[in-house]
Amino acid sequence: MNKKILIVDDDEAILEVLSAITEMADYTVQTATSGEGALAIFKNELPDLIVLDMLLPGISGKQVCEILKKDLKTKKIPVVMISANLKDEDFRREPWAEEFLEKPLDMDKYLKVIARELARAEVTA
Amino acid sequence: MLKRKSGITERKILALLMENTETQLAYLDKDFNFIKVNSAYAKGSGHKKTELIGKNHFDLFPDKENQKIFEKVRDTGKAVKFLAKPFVFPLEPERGTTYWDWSLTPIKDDEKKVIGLAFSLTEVTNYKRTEESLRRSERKYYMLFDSMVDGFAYHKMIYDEQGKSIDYVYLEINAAFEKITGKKRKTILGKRMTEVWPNATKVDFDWIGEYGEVAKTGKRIKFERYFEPLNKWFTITAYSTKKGYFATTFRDITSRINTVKKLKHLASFPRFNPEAVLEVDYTGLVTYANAAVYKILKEAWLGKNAQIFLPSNIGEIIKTLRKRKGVSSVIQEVKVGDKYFDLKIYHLAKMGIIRIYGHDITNRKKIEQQKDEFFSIASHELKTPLTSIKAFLQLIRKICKGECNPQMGHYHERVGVQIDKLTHLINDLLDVSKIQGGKLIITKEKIKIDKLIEEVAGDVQMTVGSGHKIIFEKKTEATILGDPYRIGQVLANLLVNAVEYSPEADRVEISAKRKDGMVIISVRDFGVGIEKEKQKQLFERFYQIKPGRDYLGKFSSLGLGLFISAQIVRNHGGKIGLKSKVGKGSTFYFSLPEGN
Repeated sequence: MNKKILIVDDDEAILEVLSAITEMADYTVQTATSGEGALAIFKNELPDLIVLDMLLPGISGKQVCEILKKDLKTKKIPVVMISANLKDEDFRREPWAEEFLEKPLDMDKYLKVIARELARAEVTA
Repeated sequence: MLKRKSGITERKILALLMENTETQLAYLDKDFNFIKVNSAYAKGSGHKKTELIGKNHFDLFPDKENQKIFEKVRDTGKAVKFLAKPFVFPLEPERGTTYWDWSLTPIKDDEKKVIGLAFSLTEVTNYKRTEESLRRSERKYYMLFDSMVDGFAYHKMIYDEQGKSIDYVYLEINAAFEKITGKKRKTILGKRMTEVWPNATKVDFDWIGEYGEVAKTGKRIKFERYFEPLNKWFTITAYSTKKGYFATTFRDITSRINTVKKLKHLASFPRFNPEAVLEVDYTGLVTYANAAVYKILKEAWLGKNAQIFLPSNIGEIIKTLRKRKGVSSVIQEVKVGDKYFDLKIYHLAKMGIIRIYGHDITNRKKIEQQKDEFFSIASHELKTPLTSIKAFLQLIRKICKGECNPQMGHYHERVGVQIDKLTHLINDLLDVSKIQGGKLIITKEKIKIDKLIEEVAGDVQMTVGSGHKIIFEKKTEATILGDPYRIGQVLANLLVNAVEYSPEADRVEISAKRKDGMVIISVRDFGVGIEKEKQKQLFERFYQIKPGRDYLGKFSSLGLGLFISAQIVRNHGGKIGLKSKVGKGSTFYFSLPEGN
């Protein structure tokens, strides 16, 4: 069965293109445009990996990550943070996330990271 | 009159007078033997009358000088008279020098032949001594009076019929008076004040009235006053020892007053400076703070302790400044209440002073903050569409892989390069804005440097393509303390530059080594190299070496890369530099502190 990946970003274009590329790599994609939306999805089913934009309206990506990592059910799901402001001290490395990617993303690197984190999660599981 | 009386009566009266006078009288024959003396003489000589009569004067009181005088009077027949003539009793030297008014008158017979001498003398020793001491003290006082530095004048007040003082007359002045006022004694004594100083009464001080009170009441006054006719300031004491008269002593204080004025004038510069001015001693304690400091503290509800104005590390700053020679300074930013200040801290070594000027930069800070926010938001907003553009482009390439014609593939690649360039430009602008605002903040993490180099080298290798091989051979097991993102940025920048400026070469080398607690990372290219003169400017803002149009490669930027890299390295406490030879290539290196 294909791995399920949840992509959270408030920019529709990014969401669309990331979904397309992720699906092309044979993953099942779910999307959310806000932190609240992402958390709602977790109530129904758990994805295998989450691609999370750091800066979201309402509950930010950082906060979503923190909530997930504090929950026993979700703490092992790898989180790949994406941000346009990674170098900015206000968007410093969120200690809970597995990986960080700076926007604009390089798609090869993006897919490599997803594959690696999924593999790593499988080993630890 | 006496001649008319009978001989006996006349002699009696004469004898009576002779006996009762204080004047010592003696009658001597021509050989100076005593014939007759009065009681006063006997007493004065210390002998009884009977002891004297018949004796020779110079046997009893030998004195060669006097003897000559006696002989001269006898031989010439002319009388002599002396006033306060000194005489030392040869047999009684303990009496000291005595003084005598005396006269010697020859007594002649009818043939005008000298038959004897009338000797009249009065001792004036006591009088003489008193007089001398008086003279001495008088002279002393006069000298004192005339050698006084202060001017002195003695005056008589003039009153009108109602008893109102209307003028005064100069009775005496001293040398200092002449010197200070330029008026001579001869021209001033006996003159009225209104004659001597016709303009003095027109100014705002009633000299005559004030002195009139002194002369009337005897009350002493002391005051400082400007005296217009001389254009000078004086400190004056006026007193009176006799009603209607008064004396003044005065001193020229013009230079003191002018000095005080000058000092006040100078002091007004820091005092009324609208910007904060402080001075501290070498321990960092405030010794002076101007009005602006207290105004700022008051507005910020911080009370009156000017110490609050200083940074907490003022002691260290002073220590650093004192190690330098001459006038040295540092600038330190502080927050006082909700205001920001740039403190320029100076060490004036010769005066042993630490002086601080505080410039209010609150408005600038606000604008900077807005600018930083704007840059942050702008860069985020610009990168968001870039992210999707880049991703869509990569998606298109994936979809038409193999199906696209080669021309299309080339165009895709060109678009990709331009997107990366745009991303770099946005990042660089954001970084420069931060550096200028002093907001390039470095986190400190332990980083395994080999791993970081490998990662960055891998990323750069992917972007530059296969034309250059990035080789990392000399490894070190070192751990450094620093910000992985920022160090990665420096390394990537150096690697991209190395590729860019060595278009003919096929490789770039990285090496790392440990030295004196630092890790030195070098990036070597085999390109065009950099001329010595240009090397210094390399790390300046907006500086770019343009080897030629052909080399303006894929990653050209605003010329900010090395400037940003240098700032990052310096913020880590490291150094950045290069070695280069034209035609042989360049080696850029930077050091970072080891962290164990």
